[in-house]
Amino acid sequence: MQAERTMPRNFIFDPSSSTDEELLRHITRGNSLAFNCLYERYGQRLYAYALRLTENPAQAEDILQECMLIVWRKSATYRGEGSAKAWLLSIIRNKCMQLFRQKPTESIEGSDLDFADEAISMEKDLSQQDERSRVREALQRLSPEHREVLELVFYQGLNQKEIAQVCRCPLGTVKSRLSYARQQLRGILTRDGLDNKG
Amino acid sequence: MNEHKKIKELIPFYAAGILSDEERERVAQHLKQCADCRAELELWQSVSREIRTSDQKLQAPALRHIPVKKPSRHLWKAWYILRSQVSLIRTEIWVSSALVSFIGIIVALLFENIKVIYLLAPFISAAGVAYIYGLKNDPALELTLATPVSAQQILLARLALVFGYNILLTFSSSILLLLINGQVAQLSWAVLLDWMAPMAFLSSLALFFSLLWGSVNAVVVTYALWIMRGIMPKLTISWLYSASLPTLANFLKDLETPSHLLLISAVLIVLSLWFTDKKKIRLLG
Repeated sequence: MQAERTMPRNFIFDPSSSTDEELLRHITRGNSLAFNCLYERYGQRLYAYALRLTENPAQAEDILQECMLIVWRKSATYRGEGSAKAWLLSIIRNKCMQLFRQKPTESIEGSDLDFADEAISMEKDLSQQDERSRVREALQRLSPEHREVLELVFYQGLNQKEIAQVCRCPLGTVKSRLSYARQQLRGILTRDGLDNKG
Repeated sequence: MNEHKKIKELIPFYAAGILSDEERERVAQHLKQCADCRAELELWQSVSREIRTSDQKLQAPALRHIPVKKPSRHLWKAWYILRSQVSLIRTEIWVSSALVSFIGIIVALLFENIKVIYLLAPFISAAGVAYIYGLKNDPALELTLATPVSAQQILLARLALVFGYNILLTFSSSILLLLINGQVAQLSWAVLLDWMAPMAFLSSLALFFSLLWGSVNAVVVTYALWIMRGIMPKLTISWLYSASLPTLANFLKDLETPSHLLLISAVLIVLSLWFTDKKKIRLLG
């Protein structure tokens, strides 16, 4: 018990070997080293997610900055209910949704139309492209919410529960979006005669 | 749901490499014998490759505002300590204080005298404060003390909550009564200090005694001292003069002033904080 009482509060802190949750605890105490380490760890992923949602590099950058400011000021609000990564991604998503509410013309729905136009123009050249670019185009034809779920699985590495937490939707919705995305991809690739194994 | 369907649902996560060891093994076993799922895996692998490749090319921008110092760090900490202590304070304190204040309002209305509230306030607050600390009042105290929050911080947070609550109760009661009687203009700092100073004094005294002798004894002794002071101040002072103790007599006379009461309250709180640390060592040691 004596040892507990005399233990120094600011013990040696190594951010690189700390878990995300530990970094957030240190950020709550005002540790900028932990803050920078968290940014190094997730900055790129968060930016990619913001860019995927906004389709606008300038807006994505603004949202990332706002997200990091929230992390710095309100890291104490992270209660450890889900993973820290899911918490960070949910901040990005909330900020994007706020932006879409303010500027409805630049919303996800708007970018959906862009995808459709882009897809029509690109359809002409499909036969000349390799399989990777065909997959890319198939992905672009998906609606933003379906593409978002794939992004969260394959780039952000989230499981179904974490995706539900980030998107604030029931687990069943995540499953159905994933299933629908699969059907769409399979459909597009088969229709184009490019998926011979399907 | 049959095994094939279950595995099919897991395949995207298998392709993303985020399954547990057990699930990964289960999927791998199934893939060996199911051509349909192998085709499914190929689809998801190509999707995964494409998403990862396109996203990895993105460069995160440099942070524009790298904060050097967190301005509200201490405020945040204080706020979270306060919030965490609300649920650990005995519910009876909140309820009984509100109830007695309510009775006070009724009596004050009946007798048409607002001073009833001012007389009651120190007693209510002292009774509440006497029950904020100690194993008998908080069975989880030992657990609380094992956290990085110090015993003094816990005591201060609880004192602030209970004392603040009582100030709020008395203030709102007096405002209500003044509004009913149409005497709001009478409200002044002097009037506020007239009840706040005794309230602070009696509360800090009850807190200090509760740490020494327990909550019940603290309430009894504090009430007895306050009543005695109210009943026979002149008698005691004249006796002290006659016994050639004018310094002590003058000191007791000075105790009437709010500034002196507040000063003594501060000293008693400091003593209580010092004593809390001693008590914690005994409790955990």
